[in-house]
Amino acid sequence: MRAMHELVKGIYKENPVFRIVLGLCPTLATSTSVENGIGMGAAATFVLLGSNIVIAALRKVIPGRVRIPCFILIIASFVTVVELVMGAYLPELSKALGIFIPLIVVNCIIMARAEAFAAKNGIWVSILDAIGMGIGFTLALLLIGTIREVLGGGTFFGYMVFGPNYQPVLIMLLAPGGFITIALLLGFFNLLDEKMKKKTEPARNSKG
Amino acid sequence: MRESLNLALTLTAIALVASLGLAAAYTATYQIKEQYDLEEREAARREVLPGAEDAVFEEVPTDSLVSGKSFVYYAARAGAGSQDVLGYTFTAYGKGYSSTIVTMVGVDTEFAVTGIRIISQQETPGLGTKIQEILSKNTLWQVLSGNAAEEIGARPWFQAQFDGRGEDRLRVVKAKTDDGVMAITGATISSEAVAGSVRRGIAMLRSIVGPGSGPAADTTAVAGEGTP
Repeated sequence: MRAMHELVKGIYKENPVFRIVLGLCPTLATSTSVENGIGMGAAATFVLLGSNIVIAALRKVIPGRVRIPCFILIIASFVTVVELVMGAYLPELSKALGIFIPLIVVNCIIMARAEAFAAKNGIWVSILDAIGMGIGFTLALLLIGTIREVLGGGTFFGYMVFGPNYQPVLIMLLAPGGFITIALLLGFFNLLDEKMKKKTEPARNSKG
Repeated sequence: MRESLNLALTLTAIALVASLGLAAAYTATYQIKEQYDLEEREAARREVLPGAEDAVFEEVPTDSLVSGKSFVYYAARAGAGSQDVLGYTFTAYGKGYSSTIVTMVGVDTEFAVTGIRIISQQETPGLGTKIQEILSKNTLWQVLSGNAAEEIGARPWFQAQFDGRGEDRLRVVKAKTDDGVMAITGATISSEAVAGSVRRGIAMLRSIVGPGSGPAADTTAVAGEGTP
């Protein structure tokens, strides 16, 4: 039951982008297309998994007062090793995901999960947490990316949606379009949340 | 006292292990990576000079600096020992928004671009990375229904714009004209980085091998005399 909760919570209830509002900087940058969203989501999930495992394994060794520099050291080294190995053995994948690596090193979702979860929990639940958060991040990027790519470029996954005569709304691909899309979606999810709370509250009140 | 010593020691230990891990990973991978880069450049060289599939490339180092790097160009000759030069290739380095964009450039003997290919870049995904974007002519519905036409040899539109242009027509413009290459919306810096590096490289190449500049060997010799 707990395992299921840790896995699923990242998808909606504690979605890193829409609910915890973390990692907006890489979200703005990489949500311009569906393809980028998948690339960033996959790369971030992988790094998140690695960093959560290492941090959870070392949580008893790392002294509380210097934990942040330790986390930064571990995460930055892990990302760099992954980058080096990928560049040597999987050059094609490295070409596709390489542009996301600098964005992942500064991704606060990874720091936040290390600090808020992996440093306090065992390895297995930390793995579930990483997978859940990674999926949540990827889905959020996919959602924003779909809206921005379809409106801003007239394409979905690089393929035309409306035919060649469509005049793309260029602003959607630029930073302002990203802000507008994310803000509207955030508002939508907050509204949804409020509606759901209102539905469950009367039931709780009648019980109490 | 005891506690702070403990903190410092733990942090040092973790930093040490991290650096050792990095050093080990680097040592294990850098040769493979270098080899791959060499092969990739060799392939790119033949790609940007159409008709040079069987050519022999002669590496010519120079003492000149372009964009802070020593300028090296390759002369493509029809065969070993042949004096017929088919064209030249060089590697251009342009400072983009978040990385140095490395481009392989091919030019013919008239110094018009025969093709460019971006070898490495780390620009902003979705904006600067469009210097490598290949546009598909298929619509989503064609793809979903399985009617998509195969697209063989499709090239990135930004790079295809460079074909046939001389140095004077390689400025970045924001509206479609024949005088320059179209900038990528939202990524003018990346666009200019590529175009600028190609322009500077061609200008340097022309000053070395172009008419009135004398053979390349002389240029290097003159520059060499200055050094004690």
